[in-house]
Amino acid sequence: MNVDLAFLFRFLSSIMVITSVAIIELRDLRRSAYAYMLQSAILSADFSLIAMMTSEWHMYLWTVSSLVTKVLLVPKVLIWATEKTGERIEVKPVLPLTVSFGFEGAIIISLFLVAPFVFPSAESRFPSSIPISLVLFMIGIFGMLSRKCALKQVLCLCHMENGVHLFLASLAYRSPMTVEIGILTDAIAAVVILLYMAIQLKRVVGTLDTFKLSLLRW
Amino acid sequence: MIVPCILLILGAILSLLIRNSKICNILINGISAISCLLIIVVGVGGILSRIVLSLPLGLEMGLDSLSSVFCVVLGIVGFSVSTYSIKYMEIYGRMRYYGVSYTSFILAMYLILIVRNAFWFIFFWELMTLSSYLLVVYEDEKEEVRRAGFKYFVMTHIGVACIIAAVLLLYQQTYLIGVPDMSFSSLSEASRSMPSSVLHLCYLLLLVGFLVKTGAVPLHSWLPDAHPAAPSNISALLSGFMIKTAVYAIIRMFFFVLPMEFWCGILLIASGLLSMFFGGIYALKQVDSKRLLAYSSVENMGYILLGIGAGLSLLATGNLILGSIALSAGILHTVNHAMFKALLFLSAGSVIYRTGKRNMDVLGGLGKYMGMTSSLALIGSLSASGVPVLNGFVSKWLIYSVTASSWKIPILPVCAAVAVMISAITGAFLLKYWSSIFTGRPSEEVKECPRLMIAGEAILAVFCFILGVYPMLALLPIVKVSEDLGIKASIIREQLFLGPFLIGPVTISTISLIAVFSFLSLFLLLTFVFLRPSGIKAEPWFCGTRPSALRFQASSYYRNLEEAMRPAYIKIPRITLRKYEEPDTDRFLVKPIVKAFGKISRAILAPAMGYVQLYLALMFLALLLIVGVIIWIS
Amino acid sequence: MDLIGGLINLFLVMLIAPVLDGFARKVRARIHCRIGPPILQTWYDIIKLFKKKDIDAEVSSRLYLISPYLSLAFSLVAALIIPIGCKKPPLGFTGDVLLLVYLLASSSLLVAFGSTASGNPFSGIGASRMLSLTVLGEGMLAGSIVTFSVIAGSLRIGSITELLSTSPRLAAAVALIPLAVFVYLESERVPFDIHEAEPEIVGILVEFSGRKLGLIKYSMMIRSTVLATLLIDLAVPWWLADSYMIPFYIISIILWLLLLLLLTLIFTIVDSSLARYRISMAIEGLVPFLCISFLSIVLAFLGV
Repeated sequence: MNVDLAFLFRFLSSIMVITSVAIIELRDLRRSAYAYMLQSAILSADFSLIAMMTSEWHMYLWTVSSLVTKVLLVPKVLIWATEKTGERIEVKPVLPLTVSFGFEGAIIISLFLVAPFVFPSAESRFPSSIPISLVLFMIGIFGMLSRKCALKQVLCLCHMENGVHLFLASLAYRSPMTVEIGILTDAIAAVVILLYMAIQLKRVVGTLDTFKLSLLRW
Repeated sequence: MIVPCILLILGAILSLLIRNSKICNILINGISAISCLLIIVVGVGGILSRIVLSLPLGLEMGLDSLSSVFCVVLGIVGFSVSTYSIKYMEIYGRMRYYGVSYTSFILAMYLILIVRNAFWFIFFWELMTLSSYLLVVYEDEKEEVRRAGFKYFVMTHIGVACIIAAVLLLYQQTYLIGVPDMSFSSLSEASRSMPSSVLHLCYLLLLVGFLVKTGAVPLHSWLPDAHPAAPSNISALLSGFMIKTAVYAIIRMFFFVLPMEFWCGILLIASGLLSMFFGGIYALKQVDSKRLLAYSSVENMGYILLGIGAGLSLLATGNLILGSIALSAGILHTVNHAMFKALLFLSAGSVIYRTGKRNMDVLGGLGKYMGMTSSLALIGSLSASGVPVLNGFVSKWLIYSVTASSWKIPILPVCAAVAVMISAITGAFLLKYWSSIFTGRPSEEVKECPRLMIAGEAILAVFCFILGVYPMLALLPIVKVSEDLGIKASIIREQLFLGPFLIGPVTISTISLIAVFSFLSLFLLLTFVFLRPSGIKAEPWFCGTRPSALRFQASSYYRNLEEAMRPAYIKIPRITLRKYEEPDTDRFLVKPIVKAFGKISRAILAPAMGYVQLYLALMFLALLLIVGVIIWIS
Repeated sequence: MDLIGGLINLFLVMLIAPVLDGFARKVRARIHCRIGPPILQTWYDIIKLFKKKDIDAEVSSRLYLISPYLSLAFSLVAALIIPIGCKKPPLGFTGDVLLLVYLLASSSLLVAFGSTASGNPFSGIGASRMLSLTVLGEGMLAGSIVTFSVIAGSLRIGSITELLSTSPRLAAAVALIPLAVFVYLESERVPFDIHEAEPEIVGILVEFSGRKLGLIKYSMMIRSTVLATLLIDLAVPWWLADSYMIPFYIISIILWLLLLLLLTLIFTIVDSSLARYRISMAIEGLVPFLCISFLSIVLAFLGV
């Protein structure tokens, strides 16, 4: 059983890596949103696996709630935002594609190498979940730094949150529900507020290019 | 105790949902008014008996006599302002913005008074600052409003930073004594075992942080800009209550939580003296009605700080009786000032409501058409000047008596002398305020204000009278505050209330005040008997010139006095765009700090400014650094 | 006994105040080599004013009609509580100097407010000048009072006079100078009668006539009498009797009258020799006395 689960974890993790790169690299915002949807579905699957392995029933709850919020709500809201602002294709990013890939590859490899030394305890129970969560987090930050479109930045933020949640789940799976509620509300609120600001940005300044934010100055 | 919170949150949410601006207006202000009534009930309940309530997440709430007194004041002021706002906010739009900010403002102020935990205290302090900022920049299409709001925001946040730093220092100490939480009681225990230099640093940081919010000189420069910029009902709340929360915080921290220190009291007295002086003399120059009232607030905060500082120094040196009376005097002036200052700001608001003008040079003679408003403004002005029978007199007198009698601390009698002189200046500029706007030849024809607005002002005026004639109503709960500090209330009550004194040098005897009042009422009765047979009506005598040629401008009121006091005004040598020369009080403290800060910031981020990603990258690098350091340490 | 003492005080002050003014007019006339009006002339003037019909300006505020009465009320309360003839203040009141000063200041402040309420800009000019002078005056007064309180340890007139009668101090003497100037200032005599401005028509009294004018003038006279009594109490504290025992009491009342007349005489001589100041000169002229009053506080602390 354990061997199967380990293999399952690794398999799911590799898909998550691919989806994360996809989220960042895809220029079409809708497709990025779908990639995010896929990644979140895998994340929920990860949560259910953890729930099965540790038989903590509130992890099941977290699975369901993350399904609802991350897979259904957030992408829907994001796509609604693309329609509202009218920008489906994002503005060209700072780095060319190959350099971007290079950075991402470097991040992934280095994290996979470093992580087992820093967090040995979780490695045994949920193989490669820690490095994956760190990868998600770092790639999310990288996306935020290298992309100019405001909506893309929101998506990268959600991506980072995925990483944080996975990290939390694999290390603190016994924590009480209040933590989950806090995280959930934080995610939704952040997304809603950020999207509202992005839409207003488009309305006031006319572009979602964050390099042009200084136009907002009074 | 929680019910007002729930009501206010409900109000905020509802205001977001309702589209119709008129209903929204009535709803928000109505809900706020009801919650303020509930807050009064809570306060009165707290005076009669202590209440403590513990909620999860460390949100411990409690009402002792200090909190209850302030709660009652918040309730009264809030209720009057909300009633007033129902009609006043009709001239502004954007109800949803107003709804959320206004309700969260009152909510935050209420919660600051009740919480017993430093973390939540700072949280609600921040909430109060943010919501008041949003309210100050309500009319953000005007540039001066935005600038005033920005200045307010930055200055208060520097204050908050100092407060947070001090609390963190104390919190770190609580770890060492083994009770690691942020409630006031554990901070209090922690402070007793702290090394004295760190403790003094905490005191200094807390002082700076709270004095900024109080509007004490030299950290007051946001006040004269922010109060005129805000809508008048908000100015009334700002001046009437928000700066008092800082006073509450000072008393809570310096008297209850932390051990009492003599030099803190001296610092408070010094800043009180400066505030009184500068607030008063700058108020003389003003031509903008709300700016004049803002400087008057600075001056009155000076009185309050003088009282409280005197209390602190006296208690710290062991003069228990005098010290507690001084503290009571400070708190009483807080209560009284809230009443009459809110009243004055609301009256200025009524004038703006009908004429849209704040410039006293242009206004005039509105008393002919706005009789009720004019009378209420008169009550406010007389109360602030310290006329007996109204409430300002009682607290001012008490402060003078205490400070003049505490000759053991040499600076205090000098402060008393200055205070009496400044009180005359108060009468002078309030005469200017009232007569420039309400007397003289009418500048335009206006109608009286709606009844709800008058009702709001009238409530405050009634309290001015009640507290003036029967100050024991407020003093009895206030004396309980000293009781909480461990001083037997009976001694103080003896000193204050029952006839001739024993050892201490201060008394207000009930007999005297009743005598004063009965005489006055007798004469007023006679007045109204004699007023009937009035004489011939005639035009005022203008020495034979055309009436339209004459107007005594507000700016000319005290020219000679200002000339004589020229060295006292720290002036910039050029005439600004405003009609009057505006003294630049920021020159010595605030502006150099701002300049240095700007230079440093520009030096660090000069190459790429304004790119979000760069800031993110820098933050992330810093985060990595910290994580690395933590891993390396452990 | 205290209550009766208070009422006697009140009665005496009400009776004597215009007489003092009449006396001052007589002295001034004599200095001008005239015969001058009879001493009771001021009483006749006030009664005449009461009989006249009021002319009311078209007012901006009701305060214009009420303020003379209010001002008189405050002055009378002040008269009620000042110790005359006996060290124990009437009504068992703990005769605080500050309260006294405040009552009198409120009395004049109300007149200022009421005069501006009449709508005449000249009243505004008068009121602003009067308050400018009051600012400096109160500063001087504050310094003196604080000095006395530091010396005596309390603000009660009773204890101050007791202390001063037993052990006079230099600081007290220095403090008396600004106090005397303040009393002079408030009695609206020549260098400082800017706001009343009799030869010019304009000033705060311009719109008041008939009964209102009579009340205001009467109130002003009571104020100056009370202040003069205060000055005498503090300067020459020995004349106050220790209790209300009849022979001592009568003697001290007679002494009070004599001292008041003496003070009025001195003041009138000064007033006849000076010309009226312009407001700016007046303000500048008072500043040295302000400094003296603060100096007296310092002296008091030094224990001199």
